Amino acid sequence: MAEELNLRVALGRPRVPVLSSEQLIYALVELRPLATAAGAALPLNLSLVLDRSGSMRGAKIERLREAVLAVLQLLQPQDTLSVVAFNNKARVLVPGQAVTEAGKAAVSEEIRHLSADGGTNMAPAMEAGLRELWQRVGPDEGAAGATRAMNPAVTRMLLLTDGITEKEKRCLDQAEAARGMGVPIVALGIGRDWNDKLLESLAERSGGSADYVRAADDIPRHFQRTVQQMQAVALTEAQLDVRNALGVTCRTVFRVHPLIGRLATGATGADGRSLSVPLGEIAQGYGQTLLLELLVPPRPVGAYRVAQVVVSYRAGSAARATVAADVLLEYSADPAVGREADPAVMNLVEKVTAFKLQTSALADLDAGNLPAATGKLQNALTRLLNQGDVELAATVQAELANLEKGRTMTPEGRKTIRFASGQTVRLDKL
Amino acid sequence: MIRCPRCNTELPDGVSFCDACGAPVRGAMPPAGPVYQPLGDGGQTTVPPPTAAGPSACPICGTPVIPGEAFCDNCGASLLTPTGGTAYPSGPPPFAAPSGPPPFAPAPGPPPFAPAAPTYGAPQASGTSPFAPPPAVPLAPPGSGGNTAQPGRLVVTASRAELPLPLRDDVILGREDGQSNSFPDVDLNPHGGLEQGVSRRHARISRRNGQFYLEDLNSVNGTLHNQRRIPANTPVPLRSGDAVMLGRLGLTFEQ
Repeated sequence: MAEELNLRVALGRPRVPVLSSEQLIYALVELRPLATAAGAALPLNLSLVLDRSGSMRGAKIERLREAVLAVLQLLQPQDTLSVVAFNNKARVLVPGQAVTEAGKAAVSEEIRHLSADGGTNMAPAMEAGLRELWQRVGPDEGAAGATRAMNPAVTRMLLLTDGITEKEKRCLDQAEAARGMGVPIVALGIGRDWNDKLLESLAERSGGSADYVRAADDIPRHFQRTVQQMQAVALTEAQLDVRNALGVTCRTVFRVHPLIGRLATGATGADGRSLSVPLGEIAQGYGQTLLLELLVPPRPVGAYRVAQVVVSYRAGSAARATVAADVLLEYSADPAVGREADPAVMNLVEKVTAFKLQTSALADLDAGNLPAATGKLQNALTRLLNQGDVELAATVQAELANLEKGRTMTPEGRKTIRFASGQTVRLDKL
Repeated sequence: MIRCPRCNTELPDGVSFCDACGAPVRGAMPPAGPVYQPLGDGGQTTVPPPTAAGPSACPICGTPVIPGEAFCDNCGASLLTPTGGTAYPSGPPPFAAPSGPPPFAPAPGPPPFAPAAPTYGAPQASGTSPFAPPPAVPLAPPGSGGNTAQPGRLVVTASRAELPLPLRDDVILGREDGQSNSFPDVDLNPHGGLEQGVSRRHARISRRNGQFYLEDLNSVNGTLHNQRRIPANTPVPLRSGDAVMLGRLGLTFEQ
């Protein structure tokens, strides 16, 4: 059992003092696929949904053509690719097809003629992209879940836009549909005039990710990375179960690696003692790292198992497998043990804190609460400097100055803060 | 069927831990684990009196906090440093008024240092400061002796330990922490920096035209210059004999 996944739990404080009240401990859960899990490379099913509105004219559309060709070079004959381009209207340039040599030639020819004009209406293109993906995800018979298990593939919609779209609500509906089909959306925004909140919502709802493409020259790199991450997927349909001892609550679960995000809050389950969180795919070379906040009750001196962490997953088309670990905590009579913090864990706690402060500051700003936003950014700045993240700190500092002067941020700074704050692995560091 | 030695819950044979309270079941504890002490006959005799839980509110914004929480959920302030108090419940309050001389009046003489928002320079190779130099103070022309002046040093008040400042225009004071890639020029870890609330990048001492300046780098617990708190990111002139306090760590600057 479980030769594919290594599970390790580390506590922020391995020993806590005996207190009369509840206290909080941080538990870091590291999931690393073992080399044995790499054997079954899963076929990919990728749909590119690309903005070709007038504002894409020039370097952006040129680099975009190169990016599609770069994706072609990375794909294998077992993979499936579809391409949808949109302005006011959506058009399927390449219907879902195997990436054979002949297929590659046909796609290259289509892409060469891709030009930029017109407006931006994203929802119909997302719908068309999902339809192309579905050709392979769901054959005619049976429920989606059953067919996926028989026919496993790593599926993504890669969406690139540079503008504000019409009908945002319909885009969000498409993201919900994508989640239902098990299609994470990788949403990329380029330039300054696109809605960062919308792209983040699309990613969040579909279980994907969003990012800010700073310059046209970066488009190929973002496309290549998306394909490489798909190719690294070793385990699918992963799920975390936290089973708490009596009186223990798992307050929140954050993913801290490869991308920071809140996964769950509070206990669920019939007895209120277990919490289940879907983790999606686990990639070779990336793994996943989770941060649990556990509220533990007063206990007499001694060692206790405060929770069990169970992770189940599927490797290829094999049956589900499970790994488990105990979260062991020692209660000590010595009040000084509280300061024995594990720096590696606390470092990630600080990263999550900086992320929470920045996203919450953007929400405050949208709600018109300028003092709250600047206060949080000020504190985020301290956390970032502590972390040595001077680049992001510089952006936060500059935007604080802009807020002081003109009560608004620059669009570029806002997007950098929204998307860079969650990244524990930055593209420019790869 | 066996029973939990702690809470008496009935448990199936072969379990290592009680399913209810999490206590290890006798004999099943992993060998490397911490020692489990079973209760004596008196029941409570081996249980020490619970320690006070420490402050239950964030010292900065007053939001309720839970013991063990590392950062305030509302404002993000650090709670595990001495100011937060959870880990050091008996410590003196931060920035308690020193029992010695009253706060200094601003020294007469040179015009006040023009405060200006510092700007970040372009990212540089690691090892060099990513910050632009403090504003508005031109470097001395060559030969004027500006940067060949006496090197400064810091003296730790508690231990009288002398820390010579490296001979360069900008010196970062803080705590070394490999985990977060923090390598300040002067590492205060050996002098109680962690316990006294020194940030990893806490303050900078820079030299322009032979004159030293002290600047707080937006540290969590702040910097005092001659018992007065200095605003973040604003260099103030530093003279020989001046008192510098990083968090609660007292230092004297000497030239």
